[in-house]
Amino acid sequence: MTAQALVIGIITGAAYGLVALGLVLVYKSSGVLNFAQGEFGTVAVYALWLGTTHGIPYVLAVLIALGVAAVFGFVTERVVVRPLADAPRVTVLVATAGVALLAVGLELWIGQAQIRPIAPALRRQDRLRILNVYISDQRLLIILTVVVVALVLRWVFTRTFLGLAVLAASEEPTGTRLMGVRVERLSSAVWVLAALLGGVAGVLTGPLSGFGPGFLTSSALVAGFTAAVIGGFTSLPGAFLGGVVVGVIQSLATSASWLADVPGPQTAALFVLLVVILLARPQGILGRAS
Amino acid sequence: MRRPLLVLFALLFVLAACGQKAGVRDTQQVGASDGIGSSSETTAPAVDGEATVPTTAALPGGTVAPSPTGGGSSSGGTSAGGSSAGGAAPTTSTAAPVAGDRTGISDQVIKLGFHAPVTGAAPVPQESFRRAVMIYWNWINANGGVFGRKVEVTFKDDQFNPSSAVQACRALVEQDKVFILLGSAGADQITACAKYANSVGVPYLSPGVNESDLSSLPGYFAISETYRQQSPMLGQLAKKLSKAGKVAIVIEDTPTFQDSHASIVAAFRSQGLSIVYDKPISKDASQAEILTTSSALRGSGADVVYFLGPPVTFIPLAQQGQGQAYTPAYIGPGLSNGLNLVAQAGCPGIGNSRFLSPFPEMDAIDRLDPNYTKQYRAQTGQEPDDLGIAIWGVSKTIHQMLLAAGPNLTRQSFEKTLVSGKAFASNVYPALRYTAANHFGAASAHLLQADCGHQRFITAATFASSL
Repeated sequence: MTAQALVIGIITGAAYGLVALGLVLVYKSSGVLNFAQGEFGTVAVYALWLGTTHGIPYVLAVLIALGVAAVFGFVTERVVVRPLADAPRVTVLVATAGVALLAVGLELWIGQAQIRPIAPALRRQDRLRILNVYISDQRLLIILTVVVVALVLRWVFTRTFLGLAVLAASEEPTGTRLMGVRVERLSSAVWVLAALLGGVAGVLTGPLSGFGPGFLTSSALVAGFTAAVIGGFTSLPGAFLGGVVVGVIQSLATSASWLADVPGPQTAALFVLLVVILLARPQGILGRAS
Repeated sequence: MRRPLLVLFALLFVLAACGQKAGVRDTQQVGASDGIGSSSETTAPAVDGEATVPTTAALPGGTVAPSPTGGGSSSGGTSAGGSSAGGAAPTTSTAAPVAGDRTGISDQVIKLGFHAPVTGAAPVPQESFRRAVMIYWNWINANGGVFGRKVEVTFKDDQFNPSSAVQACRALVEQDKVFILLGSAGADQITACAKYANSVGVPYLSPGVNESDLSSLPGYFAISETYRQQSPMLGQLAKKLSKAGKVAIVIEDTPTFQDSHASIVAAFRSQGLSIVYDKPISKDASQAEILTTSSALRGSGADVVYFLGPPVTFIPLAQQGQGQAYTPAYIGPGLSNGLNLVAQAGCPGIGNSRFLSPFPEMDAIDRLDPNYTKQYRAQTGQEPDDLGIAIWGVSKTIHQMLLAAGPNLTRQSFEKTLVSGKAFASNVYPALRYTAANHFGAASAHLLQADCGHQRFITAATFASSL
């Protein structure tokens, strides 16, 4: 059962990892905890749903959906984040929560409070069977995507001028400007990239069990934050690892018979783990102590 | 150390924010609630014994247009409990003052309060809900109302959250001054609001859910079978469906469902079935929890799964089960898992589902009450749906109760009428008869079966009391 929980944890935790990657990206570059990250994905899956129900080919609809997410991220940065550049980070945090609530309202307006089914990009359900758990092509695609994205982003932030400029702008914006870097453009680029990551999370996970208004916020944002903290809030590979840990813990808590009498054992177990991590290793598993 | 604290703060904030999303929060004038039906096959005979409360004489109904003057347009109602519309004669609006609490009652208006989980964890389309909620009462009001009084319904969204539900009910009572409160779905919300209503002396009616916590409330009345009452039939159904004799129980993790759990365990055991899986599932189950549960269900070998929880949990559970090559027969009590919306979102994973329901599906409603589709189309210009049947049936039942209580309506006289032994049969919801000691007065339910070929539920049996 423990081994099976590990398998389930990996395939479900990858989805949390995708959300966590977006959170870490924004936090790493601007120090902002982005509560709108889930809604970048939900808006994208709504766009995908609208596209496919209007006869647009799936691949084109996915591209349009990612474009919508990117525009949403760009507008959020220009209209909400940039005007608050000099405000306390908590103010920006609250502002992103406002963006999320606005997006949920928009989704309610578009699709009502209904669960909507949507076809996955890849439909085969039984590609792999590991420890009696079937793994679909869509799940494999999510795992592959989150691993590739984490590694690429890690390379960008450690090996490219763009990544270093983003980190520099985060630490010392004035000095970065004096070096000739246009910090505002970097900020826009980061938010667009984060929104794209959210969009990818939305179009990949939405088909797993249907979606409704605020679906990625309610189903994965808290888990994504937890994953980011566990992995180390500044570590991109750590975000993936944290997602897997969250998935494994939830799966273990569900199947553990000795927790059967505990109300909400999944949440309780996750909370205990979070406290332990914060006390024992505040920088997270892969994060570096400041 | 500031960062972790900030993150914790953030987590708490988002949890709070999640409970507030969505919203039909505004007070709206809409229509009210449930109806009734009774025993086994197609028509709904009244509960044995005394005559049912006005059917063709005073209720709107059957195939006949309601009398504008109330009082009695019967005509033709074809079956007991039939449908008639129209109010009783408006002669009593000038009746002498009566003792009792008349909050929400005037010579012109009867105000009803209604809360429902339009947003939150139930996939209820707002527009469909708003469209349907006033249809029955518009029809009645246009034909004289109830003893000359128009019925107004004030609706509030409870967001599928008990604390929000109490806030909504408090506002309905204190600000909108409604006569009675009506719940629609969501056991925790219904229980929370019923307790509040009881504390302030307001009668509260809802479709049947749990009995624990509600059986001790003198002002609470269930207008369909409770989950406990449905368990024997579900035990019989499981016996019929299970080839291996192995069944599983998955119930939402809330203390509210303890009596439901105990009753279904007893029902399965009495049928000689082996319970091979019995664990709760979170109200907002994560993907990991759902996948782990469906994997464990498959491993248990159960070919029938009793499910009691919201559609937002049921749909992904069935879908993930299908992904794990596991498609058992899902059965259960309840109100919302048999809606066509669930079939549209959950097929093909829910293909073997059968749920008991207080109201029939679209394939049976015209046979039981042809006025519903006529009025729906006439008033909205839209095609009717099953959510509208649920609301139409509730409204029809309440209408019967108001007529039975007579023109000199007070909260006390209303409750006294309900426990007087009279039967209320709407031919949509099961027939009801309450006593002073028993406020769970239904004895039958409809059986709905998934039809994934058409992404809908169909009515496999009407007013069934055994299967």
